[in-house]
Amino acid sequence: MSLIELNLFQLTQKQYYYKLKAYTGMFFTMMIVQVSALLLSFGGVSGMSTSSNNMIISTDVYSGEAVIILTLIWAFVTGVQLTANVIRDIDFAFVSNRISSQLSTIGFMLTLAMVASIAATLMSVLLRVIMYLYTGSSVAADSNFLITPVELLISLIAIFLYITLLMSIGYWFGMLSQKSVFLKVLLPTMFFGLLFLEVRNDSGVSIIGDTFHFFVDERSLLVFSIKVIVSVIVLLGSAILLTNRLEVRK
Amino acid sequence: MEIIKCDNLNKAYRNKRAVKDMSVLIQENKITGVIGRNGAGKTTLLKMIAGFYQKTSGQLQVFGEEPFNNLNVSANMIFIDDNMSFPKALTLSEILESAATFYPLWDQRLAKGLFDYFSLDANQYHDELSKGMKSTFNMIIGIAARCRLTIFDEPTTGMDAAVRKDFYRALLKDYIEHPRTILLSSHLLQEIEDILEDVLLIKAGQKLLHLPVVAIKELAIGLRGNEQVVQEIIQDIEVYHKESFGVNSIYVVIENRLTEAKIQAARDSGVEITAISTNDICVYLTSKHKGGIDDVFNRA
Repeated sequence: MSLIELNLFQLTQKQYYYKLKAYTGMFFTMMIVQVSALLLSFGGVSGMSTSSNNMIISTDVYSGEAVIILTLIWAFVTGVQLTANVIRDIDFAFVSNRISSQLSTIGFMLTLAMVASIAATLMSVLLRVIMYLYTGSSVAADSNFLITPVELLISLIAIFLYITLLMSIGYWFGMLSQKSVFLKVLLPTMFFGLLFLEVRNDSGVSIIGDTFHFFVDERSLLVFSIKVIVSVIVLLGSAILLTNRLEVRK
Repeated sequence: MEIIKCDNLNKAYRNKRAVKDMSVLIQENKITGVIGRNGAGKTTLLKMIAGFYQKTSGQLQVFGEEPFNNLNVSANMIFIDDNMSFPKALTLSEILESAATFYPLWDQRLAKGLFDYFSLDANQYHDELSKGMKSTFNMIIGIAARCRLTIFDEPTTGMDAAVRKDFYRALLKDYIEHPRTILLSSHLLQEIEDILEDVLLIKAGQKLLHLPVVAIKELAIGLRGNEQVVQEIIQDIEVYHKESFGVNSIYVVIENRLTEAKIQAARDSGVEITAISTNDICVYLTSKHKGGIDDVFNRA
């Protein structure tokens, strides 16, 4: 009997397909999150009405924002979930090493991000169609009602990048918590601590705020993409390297 | 050829040394039983061999490579225990299909055959299985994967006696057709004695002995008779186990070092000489107290 040889790429591929089959449920969770967000959006995000003499003008603003925001929260949670011990141990029931296990998880995560961003983009189109049917043609007058295919593509890319970024942050948090109990406590504490500190205007600390603006204020899609891609590579790369020597199936 | 090579291998947890200075060679295509009490370090040793745990110090080689986090070792090894995790969303038959994609030598016919024999339901989920059924299912994966190194860590947890017997028989039959290196850990030697070639006996993280099963029987003998007579015979011979019963009567298990003449003399003075089963020898050797549980009650 000779030894079976297997390269990292082949194994990662096998584990990726296994994960697609095993964690189909995560796609459903995403759909549920987005559909509930869509239902919330029907109420309109803000309303205004003015009256003068015998005329009343009321304005309702509808937006797909809720879908995006909830999808981003879902993305973060999913990123954390994918680092769960049980997911790792499922890999190690069969052939695996740390790197193949993590790479296949990341591949699966990116697939989720892709599907989620397409779905979220289409949801905002769906919202427009439903609002059109519901309120009649009056909405069509609004300048933001019609989206060109290019705009749709740009928003798709931007949403995909945001989802990937949030998932990577979640993944990074999850992996580092796996590394030590100390970090598990320290990381959330630091995050909320900083958040409170930053809210007080006089503190002068603005790490989370600056990070937030670093991404959100970016007007060029290209520069934004580069920022996100570099951050994602740093987050995921450091997570892989820092946890590569952890023991499994404890 | 040696499949596993340990040299002065150590594994320490925060405040406990689970494996101490272990030096073992496991030859290719042998079935070795790793025997020891609860907490003796069997699982720690096996998980280091499987590449799940990192050694603290010493040398460990599996297929000539350091096993921890090693792709080549993982591709040629399967580790079966009752804690195996499988995806909640997959049915048992889907898990078997997935397993097949990871192991090129996987025998689907055998897997299916065993699956049906043990009347498992293809549409059930792993979570829903009882403890014994889980062990049975895991064991099927372990046999059908035909890995060059197959490790079973307490594989029969929860199985009933009939299934246990069938499992060992299935393992032996498949081994004969497709020889491979098998490590089988258990705290009970009795039921696996027949299929083992070698026994690795572990006590408190240390190797006590590593011998062919047949050689273990020769290690000790039992003496039963009058306390004074027996005490005289066993002077400066190691006593593994001592039990008193009746008035002035004693039963001891000792190292098999008595000369023929001494044995004859003992017989003549009314001492009964008995052979000890392999299982009992292992139990006595790994015991912490010479008198066994009786020590607790005899303190007064």
